[in-house]
Amino acid sequence: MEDKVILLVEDNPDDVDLTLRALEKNNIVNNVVVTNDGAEALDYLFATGEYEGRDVTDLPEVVLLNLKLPKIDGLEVLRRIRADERTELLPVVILTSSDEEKDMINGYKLGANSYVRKPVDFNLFSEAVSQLGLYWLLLNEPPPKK
Amino acid sequence: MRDERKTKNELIKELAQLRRRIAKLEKSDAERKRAEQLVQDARAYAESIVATVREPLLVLDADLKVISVSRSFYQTFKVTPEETEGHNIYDLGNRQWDIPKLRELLENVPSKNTFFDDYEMEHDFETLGQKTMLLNARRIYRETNKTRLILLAIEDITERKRAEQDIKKYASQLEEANKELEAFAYSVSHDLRAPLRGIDGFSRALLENYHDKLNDRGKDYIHRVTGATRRMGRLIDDLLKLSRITRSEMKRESVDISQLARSIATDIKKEQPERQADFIIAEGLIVNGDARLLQVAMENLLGNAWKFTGKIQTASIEFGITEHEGEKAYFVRDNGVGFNMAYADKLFGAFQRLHSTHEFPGTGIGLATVARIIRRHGGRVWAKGEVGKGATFYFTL
Repeated sequence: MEDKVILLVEDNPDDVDLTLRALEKNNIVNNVVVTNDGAEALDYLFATGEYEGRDVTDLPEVVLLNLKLPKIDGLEVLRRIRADERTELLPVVILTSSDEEKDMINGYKLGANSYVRKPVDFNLFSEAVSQLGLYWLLLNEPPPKK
Repeated sequence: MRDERKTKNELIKELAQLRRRIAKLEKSDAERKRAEQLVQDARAYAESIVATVREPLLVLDADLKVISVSRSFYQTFKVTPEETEGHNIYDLGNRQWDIPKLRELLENVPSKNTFFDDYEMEHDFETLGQKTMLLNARRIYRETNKTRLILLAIEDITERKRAEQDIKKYASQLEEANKELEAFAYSVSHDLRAPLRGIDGFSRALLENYHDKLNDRGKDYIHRVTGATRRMGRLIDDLLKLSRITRSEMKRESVDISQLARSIATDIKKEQPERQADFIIAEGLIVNGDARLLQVAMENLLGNAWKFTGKIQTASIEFGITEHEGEKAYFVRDNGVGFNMAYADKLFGAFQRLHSTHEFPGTGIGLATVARIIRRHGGRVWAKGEVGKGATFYFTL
């Protein structure tokens, strides 16, 4: 399980630290790649920009995607992930503060696998992160590598 | 002598003939007088109708010369008969009726199209200023002299057009305001929660990683910080829910509110099955309203009743209908902790509470939400209570 990568797309540094802390607390010690905006996330996935040279076929196990991101927002990132043959099956979990119906609808419409609201309460947040980690890394069957 | 006799007989015959002819003439004369009288009557009748009609009317002949004018035309356009009757319509009032489109319409009425409806004409009239007129025209055919006439009716719709434009303007302003409200609610939803999460998360991190460096008071302070942030999170959530109630579209339909109450009661009991509570729900009450909003209102009212009977051994919660000052009022009654009537007017304010959070949890937004929903349905909501005896909440729809 250790070599499975989690891609965390999150612009808020506090939330990054709290997420990493929550994963750590629940013994999920995988390699977490953090990208701070939508453009960086796409660079990572498609091995462009600063991530040029990365093996594109080496996809993360799951993407934890925030919605409000600088440069390219979460829904657009999702759209591009689903639009490319190489990444169209990649599991994406939208992890966001927003509980606005239109965000949920658009997220699911664009092909998100899951939608999780970030709770304010850290205990609940930590719980949510750990459940996500366990589910997507252990229980879920990822799409077969091409 | 023969001539005399002939003449006498002939004279008598002629006299009789003359008498008959005179009688006939007298008869036709009377008929003529009657016909004339009828014409006079009809004319007076028509004229009194035309004079009473508020809209200015013109009758033009086929050459567009003014033949008749209604009194209201003179009053509206502030002109005299001398300036109007007998003149060509285009010569009236400084050629103000000489408009190409109008010419085209008018000139077709006698022969081709015979009428036109609702021609809108915007013009700066000499005596009136900028006005919008609505014109309707009909061809009238007069049998007596085989002439074709045009009846032209003019309606001043300037005020109406202005009102329509105002409505459009206000509607778009309202649309604008609603969009701003939506954007605000969205940013609250997103932006305020993130820092709260940081405060809560790092406070706990402090507690966990440095608990050996903190004394009891230090730990207590941190608990207060996390408690406050969690409370603030709930307040934001409730505020957002309340704003959604105001923003959402209302869809009115027939709703079985008894069934609604029953299903909410079942869900409430499931959450705490160990509690003893009786729900008495009146059957077959149907109302006209938005199903979703009514559900939120009933959830709040029944949820409150459940909450405030939490300390009672056997709670009794009733939903039904009654009469109040001649109208139907629905009510939710409980035998719980009740409230002091002196504070009754504070009940429905946002974030107003009559009990401390220790006694009963809550943010104080429930009743404010109910009030807003009932008001959107055009109804009223009020409450009666007694400390220690219970409370009843009434609403009309």
